[in-house]
Amino acid sequence: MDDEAQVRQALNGNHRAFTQLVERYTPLVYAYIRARVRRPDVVPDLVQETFSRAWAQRHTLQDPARFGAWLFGIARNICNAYFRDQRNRATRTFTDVSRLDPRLDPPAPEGRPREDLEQLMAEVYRLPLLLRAPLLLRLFNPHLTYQQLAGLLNTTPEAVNRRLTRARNQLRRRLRV
Amino acid sequence: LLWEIAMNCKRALALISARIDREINLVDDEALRLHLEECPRCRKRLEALRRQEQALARAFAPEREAAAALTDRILAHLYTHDPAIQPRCTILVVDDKPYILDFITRTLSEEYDVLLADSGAAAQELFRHKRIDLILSDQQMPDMTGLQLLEWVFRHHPRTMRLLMTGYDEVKAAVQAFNRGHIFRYLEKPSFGPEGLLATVRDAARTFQLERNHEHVLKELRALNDELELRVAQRTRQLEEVNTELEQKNLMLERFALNDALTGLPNRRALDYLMERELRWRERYPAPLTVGIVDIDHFKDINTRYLHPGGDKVLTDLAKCLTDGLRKIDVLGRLGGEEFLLIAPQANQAGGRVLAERIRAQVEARVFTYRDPRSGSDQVIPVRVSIGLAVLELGVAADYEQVKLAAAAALKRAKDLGRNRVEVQVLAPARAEERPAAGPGVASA
Repeated sequence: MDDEAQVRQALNGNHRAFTQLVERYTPLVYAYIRARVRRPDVVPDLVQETFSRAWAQRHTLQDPARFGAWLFGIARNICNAYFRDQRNRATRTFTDVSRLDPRLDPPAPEGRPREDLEQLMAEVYRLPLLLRAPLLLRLFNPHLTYQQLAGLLNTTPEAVNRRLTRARNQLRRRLRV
Repeated sequence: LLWEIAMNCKRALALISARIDREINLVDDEALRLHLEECPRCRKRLEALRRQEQALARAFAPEREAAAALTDRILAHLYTHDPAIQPRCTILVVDDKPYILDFITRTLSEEYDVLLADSGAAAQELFRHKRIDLILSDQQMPDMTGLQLLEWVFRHHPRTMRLLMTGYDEVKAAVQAFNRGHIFRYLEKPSFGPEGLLATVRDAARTFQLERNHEHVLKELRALNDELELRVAQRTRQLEEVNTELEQKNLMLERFALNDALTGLPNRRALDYLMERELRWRERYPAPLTVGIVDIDHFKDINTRYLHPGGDKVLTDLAKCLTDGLRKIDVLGRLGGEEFLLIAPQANQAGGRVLAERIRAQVEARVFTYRDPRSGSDQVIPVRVSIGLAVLELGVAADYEQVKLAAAAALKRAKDLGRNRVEVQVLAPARAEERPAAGPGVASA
């Protein structure tokens, strides 16, 4: 995908380019935020907020070729704001039980024992963020190349390769599949 | 050469882990394939990683769908909050005169995506392939009138905004169509200039976008609403389950509270309630009433000889035996210890005596057995009961305490007179109202 041209067109008011950009990046931003936030129910709102803020701050995008990294930076800030908010709230009340109770994770899809998925999810979230982010991005869009992943995560393709390998092996060892 | 292409397990594992999501590279790599054929350990690892990858995909599958569906919501949100990113409207211009098409294209192409058609049929064909937001049609065309075309659009693509250009002499027909809601605006030819055209089209485009945004918002709201309804339904079901459980527990509690644990008969609390009710009932519908206290003779001896398990056995068996002899409307409850209370509504002195005598005889005839765990042998325990009856004849009023007192007095007499017998105490009618505090006198039978 030629990000740069598309981003320029979108910023110039080409609606088609803009729509395609949103369509392509929604699952990626979702995956990136999901790697940070364990509660799937709040993720959609954070994703929407990311795009909202990105549009409002579009003048701060200096290099259209690095649109993805810029967008992820905004997503990161939004996640941090969310965590700050949660911490402040947690010191006041403990009403938000779902944060304390891991059993309140999303229901398992049919046809598979729930514990397996729960354990898998738990292990995914025990991975360090550095490994979890590329793994989830890969899961949400299997067609991304290491080059593109590196661009999004501000690193090199080799590092992406290493992190994915480590993530998979750690999972395999812990789950003993 | 062999050594160079040969692969050790470490390298194979690295390759597998790195490429597990790209099955294609795994299969294509000749050296890796050869290694896998030879090394069962690496094959196992490959399978394990494949399974893990599938499990991960399954675990996040619902969210992947949710993420893809999120695009619409985000776009709708951005449109509604910032009109600057509205999509450009597509306008279809239909006219058979090239110079008009040319003029309109020049005026509108800056702000809109303009499509052109030189006949009604061509316009209909374009509708089949393109999404068209606005249509601006001339009235006079060779194959059909503009109104006919716009009516067709109204029926098949109701969301498209419809604009009509007419000459002066066709205004009447246009007004009619306008009133029927088939067109949004009309432009009068040949007087409109670029400004008039732009203003009219802008007006139509803005209306179209507003409606579309409303639809987006509505769609979003509807989705939220559906989700909410689902949750409410779930909660309601949970609540119903909890309520049913609570009802059952309450029922159990009630049973615990009102029944004697050993015999299952109404306990003292229940008897109090039943007696009060019976007495109140009598106040309203005068009837005789007999109340009796049934007491096991020498129960202490039974307890001493057969210990408490034996005593309990006698009590439960006796409860059954006593209940067998009762009429359907009679109530028997356990007052405590070896004492039972019998409430026999509508029984006068004669009836009460017959009933009590029948019970007493039944107990005397019954063989109470008990398997003594110490000796292991069945023992026959002789059980006899003494019954003291308090009888309230028709029209005689008394409260619960007085009735109990009278029954207890009768029981005492039965015990004193040698046990295993029925004694009756008839409560005398109260004197007139001048001495209400003194209570009814007692007449011995």
